[in-house]
Amino acid sequence: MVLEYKAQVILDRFMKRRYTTLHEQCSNATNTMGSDSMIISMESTVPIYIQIAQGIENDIINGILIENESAYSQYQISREYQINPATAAKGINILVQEGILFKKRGLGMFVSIGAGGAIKRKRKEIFFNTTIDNFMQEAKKLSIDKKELKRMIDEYEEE
Amino acid sequence: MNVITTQSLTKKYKDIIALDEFNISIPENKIIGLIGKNGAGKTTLLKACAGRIRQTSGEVKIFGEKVFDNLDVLSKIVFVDEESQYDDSFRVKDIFALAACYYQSWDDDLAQKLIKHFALKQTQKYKKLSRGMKTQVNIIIGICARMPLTILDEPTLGLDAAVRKDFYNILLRDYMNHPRTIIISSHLLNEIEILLEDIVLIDKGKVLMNVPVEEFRNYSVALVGESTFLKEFVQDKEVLDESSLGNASKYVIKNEITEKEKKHLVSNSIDIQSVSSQDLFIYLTSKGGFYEEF
Amino acid sequence: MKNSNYIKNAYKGLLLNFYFDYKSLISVSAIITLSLVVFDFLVTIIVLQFSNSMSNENSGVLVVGFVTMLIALGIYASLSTSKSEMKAKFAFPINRMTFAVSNLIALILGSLTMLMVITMIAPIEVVLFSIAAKFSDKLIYVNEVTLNTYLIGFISSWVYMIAFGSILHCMFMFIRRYTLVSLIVIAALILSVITFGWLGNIVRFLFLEQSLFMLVLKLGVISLVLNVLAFIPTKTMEVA
Repeated sequence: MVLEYKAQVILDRFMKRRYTTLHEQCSNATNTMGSDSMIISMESTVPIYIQIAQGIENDIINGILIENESAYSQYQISREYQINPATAAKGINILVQEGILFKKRGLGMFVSIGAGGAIKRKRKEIFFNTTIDNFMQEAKKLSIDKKELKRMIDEYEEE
Repeated sequence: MNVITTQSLTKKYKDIIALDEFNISIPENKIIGLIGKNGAGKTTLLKACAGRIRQTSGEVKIFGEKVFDNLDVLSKIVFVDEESQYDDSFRVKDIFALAACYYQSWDDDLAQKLIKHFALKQTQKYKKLSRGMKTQVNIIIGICARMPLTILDEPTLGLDAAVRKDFYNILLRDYMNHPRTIIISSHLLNEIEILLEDIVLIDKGKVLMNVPVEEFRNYSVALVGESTFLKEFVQDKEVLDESSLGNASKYVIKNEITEKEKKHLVSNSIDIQSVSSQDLFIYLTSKGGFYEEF
Repeated sequence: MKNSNYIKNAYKGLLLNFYFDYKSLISVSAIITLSLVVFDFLVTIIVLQFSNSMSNENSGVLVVGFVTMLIALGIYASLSTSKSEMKAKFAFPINRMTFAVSNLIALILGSLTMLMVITMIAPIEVVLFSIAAKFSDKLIYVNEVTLNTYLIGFISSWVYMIAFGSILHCMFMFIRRYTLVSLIVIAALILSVITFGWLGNIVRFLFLEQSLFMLVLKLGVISLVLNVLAFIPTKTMEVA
C-alpha cells in the first residue's frame, strides 16, 4: 500500500511538472501577455536563437520596436545578454527570412512594415495547431467533455 | 580558412597517451569552447597549437603552417593559462611593457583601463601577486594582445564568480570590436556556453564532437514518466542515461524524436525536458560506446 | 614585410627582457663590490692601528669587481636556463634563433655595463685610500694604473667575461636538456684536463695570451662557437 502511494505521489509530481512545461511551451509560442520581452532560459527545450527571435517578436507586438524603425543589432543583443553575437545573428536571420525584419544598407536591422500583423498571424496558426491540440488532449485525459469546455470558455472573464 | 588543422596528432608522455590520432579543423573568427574531463587532453592540445610542446607524431598546422619554433605563426598566437607563466621577479608594469613590445596589435589603453579596473598594483612583483591577481594579469595580456589566435586554457581558475562574469563581458565586447579566433577551455560549461559559437568535446585524447553549440545543447532530451511505457519507447533509441524511482523513470536519449512520437509521449503523460550541456557532457564522457559515431 | 616585423618585435622584446634580467644582476654585483671595497678600506685602517706599514694596490677593486661579476654571470647562467625562466621568455612570441642571438648580445652589452659600473666604483677606492694616506704616515698608497694599462685591462676583462658567460651558458643549456650525459662529459673533460698535460696546453693556448688583439680574436671565436653550440639543445626543447 505504502509503495503504491509513494509511486502515485511521484507520478503526480511528474504530472505537475508536465503542466509547467506545457504552460511554458504555450507562453513561449503565444506570449501576448506583455511580460518581460526577452529572458533567455537555459533550461528551455527551445534553442537560444529561437528564444531571441521570439523575444524580438514580442517587442514588436508590444510596441517596443516600431515598424519601419530600427530593430536590435546582433551586437546590441549580444552585449545586453552576454551571448555570442553569432547566436544573436542567427535569431535575427530567422526573422529576416520570414520577412519580419529587413536590413537597410549601412543602417542595420529594421522592422518590416506589417511585421506586427505577420507575427500575430504566425502565432495564431501555432495556437490553433499546437496549443489547441495540447489543450484538447489534456481535456480528454481529464475526461472533460466539449460541452463543459464550451461553457468554461463562455464564462471565462478576464481578471 | 582553417586556423587550426591537426592530422593524426599524437602526443605521448612515457606511457600516457595524451592525444591519440587527434584530427580536427577549426575555422577562424569564432569563440570556440574546448571541454573535456581532467586528463582528456585539452591542455596538451592547446599547448601543441601554441607551439609550446612538440608532437610525438602527426602534424598540427596553424594558419596553414607548422607552428613549432615558427616565428611567423607564433607572432599570431597568444596563449594564456592559469599558471604563473611570466618572470616571477618582474614587476607588473615590466610585464606589460614587455607585452607592448612583443605584440604588434597591443592595445595599451585597454590594458591600462583593465589594470585600473581590477585594481592591480603596477609596481608589485609578479610573484607577490595573489593567485587571482596573477590570473587577471594573464588574461589582460591575453585580451589586449589582440592576437588572431587567442588561446585561453582554463583562464578563470582562481577567480570568483563576479570577476568571472566581468571577464566574460570584457572578452565578449572586445571580441565584437576586434573579431578573432578565441579558444576557451573550461570546466564551467554552464557559465561559458552562452559565449560560445562552437563546442569541441574531447575525451581520452580523441575528439568526441565538434559542433555548433546549439546542436550540442539540443543533442539530447530527457523523458520523464512511467517506467514500463518509457522502457518500451526507448527500445530503438540511443539511451545516454537512465535512472528510476519507483514507477517513474528518467531516460536521457539522443534527440531524434519525431513530432508524431512527441504527441504520443505527451498523450501518455510523459514529460519532455531539456538536458543541460553540463549534464550531456557528463553522460557522453562516462559512456564507453560513443566513439563509433564520430 | 610581415616577416621582418615579427623578427624586429622579437628582438625588441627580448632585449627589453634581458635588460630587466641584467639590471638586477648588475645592481646586486655593484652593491657587493662596493661593500667589499668599503670593507677592505675599513679593515686596512683598523689593521694599520696595530701594524707598522702596509701597502695596497689600487687594482684591488678592479680585481674584486671582476671576480664578483664573473660569479654573478655564472649564477645568472645557471638560473636563466632553468625551466621556469625559459618558459617566461618563451611565453612571448620568439623563436630559438632570436633567443640565442639576443642572449649573446645581452651578454656582450651586459658585461660592458658591469665593467663600466666597476670603473665608477674604482675612483671611490682611490679617493678613500688617498685621504687615508694623507692622514697616516703608516699608509703608502701607490697608484700604478695608467690609462693604457687600464684600457688593456678593461678590454681583456670584457672578453674574458663574455667567454666565461658563454661557456657557462652553453654548459647549463646542455645540462638542462641532457642532464646525465652532460654531467658525465663535463666531469670527464675536467678530469682529462687535470691528468693529461697536452690538454692543459690547449687550455693555456686558448685562454692565456699576451697580445690583446689575439686574445680578443680567440675569445671572440670561442664565445661565438659556444653560443652556436648552446643553440642546439634548444632546437627540440619544449617550453610547456
